[in-house]
This record gives sequence, C-alpha cells and structure tokens, in this order.
Amino acid sequence: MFKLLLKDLLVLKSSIIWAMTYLLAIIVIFSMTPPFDKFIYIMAGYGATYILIMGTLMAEFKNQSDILLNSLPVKRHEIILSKYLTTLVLTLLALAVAAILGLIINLLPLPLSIRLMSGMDAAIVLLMAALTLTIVMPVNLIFSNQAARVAIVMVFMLLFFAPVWIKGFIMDRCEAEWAQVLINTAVSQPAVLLSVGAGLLLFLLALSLIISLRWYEARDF
Amino acid sequence: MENVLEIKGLDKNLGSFRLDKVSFSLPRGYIMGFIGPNGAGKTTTIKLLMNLMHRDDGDIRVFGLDNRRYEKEIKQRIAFVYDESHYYENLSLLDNRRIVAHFYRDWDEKAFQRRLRDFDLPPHKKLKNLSRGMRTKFGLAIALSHAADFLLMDEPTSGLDPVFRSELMDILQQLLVEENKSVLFSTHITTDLERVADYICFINQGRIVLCQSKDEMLQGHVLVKGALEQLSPEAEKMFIGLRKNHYGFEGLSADPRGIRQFFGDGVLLESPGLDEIMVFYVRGHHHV
Repeated sequence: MFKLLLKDLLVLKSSIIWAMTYLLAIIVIFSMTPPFDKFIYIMAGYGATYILIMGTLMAEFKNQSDILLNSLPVKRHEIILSKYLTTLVLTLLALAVAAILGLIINLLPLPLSIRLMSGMDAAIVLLMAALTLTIVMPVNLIFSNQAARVAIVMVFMLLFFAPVWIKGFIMDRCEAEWAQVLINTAVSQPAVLLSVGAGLLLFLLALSLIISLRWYEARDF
Repeated sequence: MENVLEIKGLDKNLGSFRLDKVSFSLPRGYIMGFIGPNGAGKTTTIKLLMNLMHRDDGDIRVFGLDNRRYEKEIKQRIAFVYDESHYYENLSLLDNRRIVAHFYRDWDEKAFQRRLRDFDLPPHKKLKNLSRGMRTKFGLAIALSHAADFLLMDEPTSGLDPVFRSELMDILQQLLVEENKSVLFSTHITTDLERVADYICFINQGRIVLCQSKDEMLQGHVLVKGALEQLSPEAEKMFIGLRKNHYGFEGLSADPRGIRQFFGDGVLLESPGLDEIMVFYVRGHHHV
C-alpha cells in the first residue's frame, strides 16, 4: 500500500507544486477580503485537495495506468484502497501546508493579519474531501474520467450552494418540531451535529469504497 | 521437462469474440512465439494470463501455480513488455523506475543502469519525449531488471523499424543463452520469430491452430507451386490453403510425403516460412 502511495506522490510532483502555489495565493488574497477571510483555510485546503485529486485521476487516465498497476505484483483491492488513502494523505498534506503558511505569515512582519487554522477548519475540509471522494471515485471507476470531472464540479457546486439552501429550507420551517430540535442542537451542541454529519459521511464513504472495490475486482482491462 | 506456463481449456467470451478452449504449454528456458493475425486472441490470452481479465473457464498455471491464487508471487517472477507503454508520460525514466522498482523484491539497480547504457536511454528525459522504439527499450530495461524468470511480450515490435526489431531479437537470444529465461513473445510479424523462437503457438479466431516446436512446424509443411491443370479435386483436399491465379497455383500442405508421392517431380516444392503457414491457414482456399 505504501508503495502505491509513493507512486501517487511521484506522479503528482507537478500538481503538488501547483496546488501549494494556489494555497498560498488563496491565503494571501482572501485574508484581505472580508468576509472570505473567515473561510481562507477551508477554501485553500479544499481547493488544493481538489487540484491534487484531479491531478491523480488525470495522470492515471492519461497513461491508462491500470494496465501497468495490475501487471505489477499488487492486488486489485490494494490499488483501490490506496486511491482512497492517497486522497486522505493529500488532504492532510494540504491542511498541514495551509496551517504552516498561516503560522509563518503571522510570525513574519507582514502587513497581513490572519487567524491561525482551527480544528473546525481542518474537520470541515476533511469532511468536504471525504464527500468529494465518496462520489468521485466510484463515478471515475464505473463511468469515465470525463464523468468524474463533471462529478467533481457538481460536488464543488453542491458544497457551495447546498449549505445556503439547507439553511433556507430549515428557516422556512422553523416552527416545525424537527427544525426546532435541529436549530437548538446546532446552537448549543455544534460538535454533536458535526459528529452526526461525520458519521453519515463515513457510512457513505464506506459504501463508496465497497462499490469501488467490487467494480474494480470484477473489471476486465 | 518442467513447464513455466501451462494453459488448459481457457475460455473467455467477449461478445463479438470468443477465446475457445485454448491450451498450450511453454517449457522452462525456451522462447515461444505466439502468432496469429490481428484480433486472433493473442492479447486476450496474455491479459488472462496476467489477470488483467477474468476467465470464464479453464486453468492457467505459471511456475506450476494457479495464476489467480498466487498472483503476487507469480508477478514477482514475471517481466512484461506490452505493445504500448503504460508508464507515466510526464515523468522521467528514473522517476518511472522509482515507481516500479519498489514493487519488486529482487530489483537489481545495477542491471537497470547497465540496460539504460546498453540501450542508449537518457535517464532524465521524460517518457513523452522518447520515440516508440525508445519507450519499448525502456519497458525492456525495466522488465530485465528484477530477476524475472519468465518474460512476457505482447506485440513489442509492432510499429517498430526492422533495425530495432533485429536488435530486440539479439537481446532475447542473449537472455536465453546467458540467463536461461523463458519467453512468450506474441506478434503478427512472424519474421521476428524465425531466428529466435523454439516453439510456435498459432492462434486464429480464438482457437489454437498449431502449437509445436518451430522446426517441427516448418518441416511438417510444404509449399507447393504448380500449373492449374495439375490440380484435381482430389489433390485440392491435400492442401490447407490454396491460392490460384491465371498462371498456376500455390498451396500449403501439412503432408509433405503425400504431396511428393502425389505430384512427383511435376511441381515445385519449397519450405514455407511462418508467414506463409499463417497466411494459408487463415485464408484457406481462394482464387485471385
């Protein structure tokens, strides 16, 4: 598994440089642009993860590397597990770089003022990356790289617009008992709500992994 | 004699094409040419062998082990060169090597560096900037650097010039003499094999037509040229394939003795090449 992870990092060499440049640009530009300055770590972290996920998918597609990988002494389930694991590692890498950049900018005598990354920033980026992975990976395997690109844009849009839509949907029904419970929980115990969301997402991620594994195991190259 | 590869009753239905009860074996230390026209089933057989496809029925044993159950162990000892390079185009040869080398227990860096020098390959150049021949050489350099016992080559020479093809045959011969490797070499360019192959396995429309030693195959067939009036319906039955034109006929028979007895000195008898054997088996009897 570790060998496959190393492979992805080597393949992503140029994308990693590009993603880190993007990350720095987002942090610098949006730290001076309220109200986006509140979300710089989420935008930078998720944006960089997005670039890296796309970079991996494109490299594998362009080189038809499934034929190479499946000719090496490696099992098919290891290839799929490593694809999921790579995304997690890339997300953590993007978060680590974003946190370090934020810290450096704070320490240097620059005319910029940004807050440090919080645990909530990291949790939200991880959840967003997990949601992207949950949808994009099986779509990429079952349909095509093109479909995966469409899917990843749709997830991107969903993550941008769904929170506003969900908020509007709940507020329109704020008299309803279930909405009251939800609003109270969100206000008094945001961690509970986040945990429930994370639990649901983990379940979907596991489902996505099972679908990807079954599809890939049965596939002819 | 110990077999490095044994395939028995291999079936695979791909809808418009079917691999039908394919069986053959390759003894250790020999080169087998796997020949047939385009679309005959060579690549499908190789993909099934490498577990890139799932078989419907049959048995594949490599080094005496089931190729699905012992997939990782077997692939440690198999080297492969395909018709197209599937390495990463945007990476240099050395980076591609870094990716692949980790997967093999017995990766031999000295051997790899030696092959790069022998093949004149620029280690820091990106794969996308290499010619097709150079990419094949790189695939071969990788394949020959992890102490594999069995080299599997699927159409490695298609689209390559005769000079490179000849060079590749020299390398294969050298491998066999110096390192006692076994080679399965799939191609539709049969002239590549005449010099190096010990065994020939001929597949057409998903079925094995012939599988025997190259010498047996060449000596067991005769190419007959003669005048049309010498051909009777009875004589035509002696031919596997027959080509007729206004000037006469040319046919391939798998019964050299019978042909000599039937025609005597009235026809011209020649030893066929693998190309002619393949063409006559595929095309059968036809008029021009």
